[in-house]
Amino acid sequence: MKIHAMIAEDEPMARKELMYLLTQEDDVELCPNAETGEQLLQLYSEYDPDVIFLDIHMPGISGIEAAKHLMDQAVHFPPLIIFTSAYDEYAIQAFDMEAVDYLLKPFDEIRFQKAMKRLRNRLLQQERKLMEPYYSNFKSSGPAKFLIDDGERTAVLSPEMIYYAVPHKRMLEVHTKDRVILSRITLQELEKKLYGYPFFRTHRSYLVNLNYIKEITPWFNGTSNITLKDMEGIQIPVSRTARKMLFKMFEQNG
Amino acid sequence: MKEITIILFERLGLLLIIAFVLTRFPGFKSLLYREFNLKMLLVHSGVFGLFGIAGTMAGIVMDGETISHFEFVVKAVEKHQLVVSLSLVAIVIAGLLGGPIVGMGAGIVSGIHLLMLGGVGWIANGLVNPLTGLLAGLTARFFSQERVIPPLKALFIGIFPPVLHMHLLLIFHPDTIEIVNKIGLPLVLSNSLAIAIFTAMITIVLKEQENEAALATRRALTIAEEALPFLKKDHPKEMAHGLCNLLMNRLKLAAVSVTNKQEVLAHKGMGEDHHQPGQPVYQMLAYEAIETKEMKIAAARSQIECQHKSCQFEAAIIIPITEANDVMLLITFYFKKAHHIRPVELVLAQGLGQLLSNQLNVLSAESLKLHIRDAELRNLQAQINPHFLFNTLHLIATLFREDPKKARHITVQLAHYMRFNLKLVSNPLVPLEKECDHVNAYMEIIQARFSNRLKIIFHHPEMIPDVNIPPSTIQPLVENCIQHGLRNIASDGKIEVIIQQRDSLLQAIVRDNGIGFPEDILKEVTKKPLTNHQNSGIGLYNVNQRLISLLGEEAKLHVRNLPEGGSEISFQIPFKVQA
Repeated sequence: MKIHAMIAEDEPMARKELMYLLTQEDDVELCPNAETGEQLLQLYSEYDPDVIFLDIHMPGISGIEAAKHLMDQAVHFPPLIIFTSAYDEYAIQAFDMEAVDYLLKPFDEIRFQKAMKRLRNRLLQQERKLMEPYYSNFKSSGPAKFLIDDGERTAVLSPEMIYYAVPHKRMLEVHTKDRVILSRITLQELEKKLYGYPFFRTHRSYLVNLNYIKEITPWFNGTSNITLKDMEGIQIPVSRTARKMLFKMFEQNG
Repeated sequence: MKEITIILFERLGLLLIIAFVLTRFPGFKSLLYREFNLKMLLVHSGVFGLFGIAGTMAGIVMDGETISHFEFVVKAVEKHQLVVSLSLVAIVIAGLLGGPIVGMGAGIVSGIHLLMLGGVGWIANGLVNPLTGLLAGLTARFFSQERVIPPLKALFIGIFPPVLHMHLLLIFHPDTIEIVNKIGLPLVLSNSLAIAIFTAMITIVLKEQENEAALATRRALTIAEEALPFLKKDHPKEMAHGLCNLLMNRLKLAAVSVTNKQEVLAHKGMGEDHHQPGQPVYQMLAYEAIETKEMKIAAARSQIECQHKSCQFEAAIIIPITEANDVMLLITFYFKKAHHIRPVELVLAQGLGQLLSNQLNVLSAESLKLHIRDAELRNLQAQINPHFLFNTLHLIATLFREDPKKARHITVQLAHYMRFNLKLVSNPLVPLEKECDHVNAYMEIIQARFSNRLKIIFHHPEMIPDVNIPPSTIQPLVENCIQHGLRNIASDGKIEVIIQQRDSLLQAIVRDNGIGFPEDILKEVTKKPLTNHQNSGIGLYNVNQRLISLLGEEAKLHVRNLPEGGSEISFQIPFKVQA
């Protein structure tokens, strides 16, 4: 399995240094570099890397701020981060964020190898976690009707009616077979209501009913798209981690 | 009786004239200030005793109820005659001014004289004087808060001694009752009045003296204040010239000179031909003044020790001016005659010496404070920003592989930069050229690190002007641009550093095209350390403080936002600082 790594660093030479060190590792595949915090946020959601080598001092959003942002957004696993900095003043904050490591510039090669080792261990741990059943036993049946607001009206829904949900302009679109409910409920709230039923976050902003998945088609860079039954025209994005989990889940069940 | 009264008043008039002369003696002052020692006690007892004897001599001799003769009493009188002495005036004054001991001493002296004169009533005459002196002295204790007893009180006190005298006469010589009848009242009247007038006289003398002292003090204060600008001068010769001119203008002196411990710095007034700056200090008295840190007075030519034959100085006052308990300067007042030195001159010289010393101390404390502050700030500035250092090392580490030649170049630049920073601690001023090298080294490193983000352009005259400036004043301004103005600029950042000569001013300008300063910070950024901005938050404040403390308010930083965006920080230095 390849490790997808992304470098976020504003100094060109420092980027070169990391790129060089990372290309020496056989199991590492480089994603495009980010030169600012903003760029990192954008590239991260696009490439979903396994690890970020994150410089703390960057123009605009700092490394620490960017990392916090990514942590908050994480759905299944927070991104693995190795901070790189010239000075250790942020080590404690980095530790709080459960960063994999904190590398001081200039990089000591032995220290760098140690960081890589830690990184591989953390990735293994993640794999192992994936092996644990995601939802140990989904509720198979039950009355389980619940109410959600639908604009002015209130809709009565049962879990099996919902195909998928996605936020849209501060509202949540809840797609059923023949209509779309626009609700003020958040995705997180809905996910809570549906706890115990076979729903899965395939992506930061998609909650999908596993029972209606028709097929999974690979997209690029390890990500995929899902097509649902009865809704052939709609492609739902699946992040790389989510894809792995999805496969594991189906393997266990089947 | 009327006759006797008139005669007594006449005689007392004479006595008062003598008393007036007495008040003009310098030693008289010590009585007024009640500063006594054994020697002075004896002297005063003697003087007032003699005054008492004069009183006796000014008295009259009674033969029965008639005045036997009007001449002064000098010889011993006959057995049946009575000496009517006026000595009590002197004794009462002695007691009132000098206390019981002086009073009694004077009383004994004049008493013995009276005993020797003999005549009827010799016991009473001899006893009354010491007794009066003692009693007057003890009475004076009630008035110890007042330096001189007010005339009215003195008048009252003066009534009693003649009364006591009459008592004694009647006790020891009961047959003198007729004489007592006749002279009693006139004696009481004349004595008490004379005492009152005498105390009034003393009061006047005292006021005179106080006025003189106050005047001298005020003059000393004024001169010391006027001397302040000269004392501030760094150059000792400039300071000495200024002081000399000032003192010559303000005081009536033949000449004045200012010297340090070794040589004459300036001399004004007579004798400029041979008392010249640069001459060594050779007078014994000057060395004594340096040694003891006390004012010395030369009262003769020999003490001035001038080798020049036509030198007209006969007296001088040498005033040491001290700083931190060490003599820094000697100011010498020269006089043509010894008697030109009056007590007022001495008071003035003493006061002036102390005031100038104080001012010198205050000034040196002030400048010491400034220097310590500057050293502190430089020390702070010399602390290399760890981010800068380690990022540069990281850059070099990469360059070793990517571009070894450049790695070498940047290593050398870092060495320049750090060497300059190390020297920063010990040098308050450096040549502008060195400062430019420092800026250059910093620029090269920053450019290599952020080649994608920003460009730095450095304009300076081909020949960098030969001026000294506080070290590391320009580089922090550039650093500030990177840390703040261009902090969030990911590309196309631009920093311009301009050094230019404008008339007698050297201008340094640093501009960027970044975000500029927020309005609320713009005004404060140079005035106080902004601690919420890491690293260079204190940078501008630090530079501003050092510029002001070393070169004055006109060298302060000017910060403004540019209309086209970005900010500009500049300062200017006058060329005269070259020295």
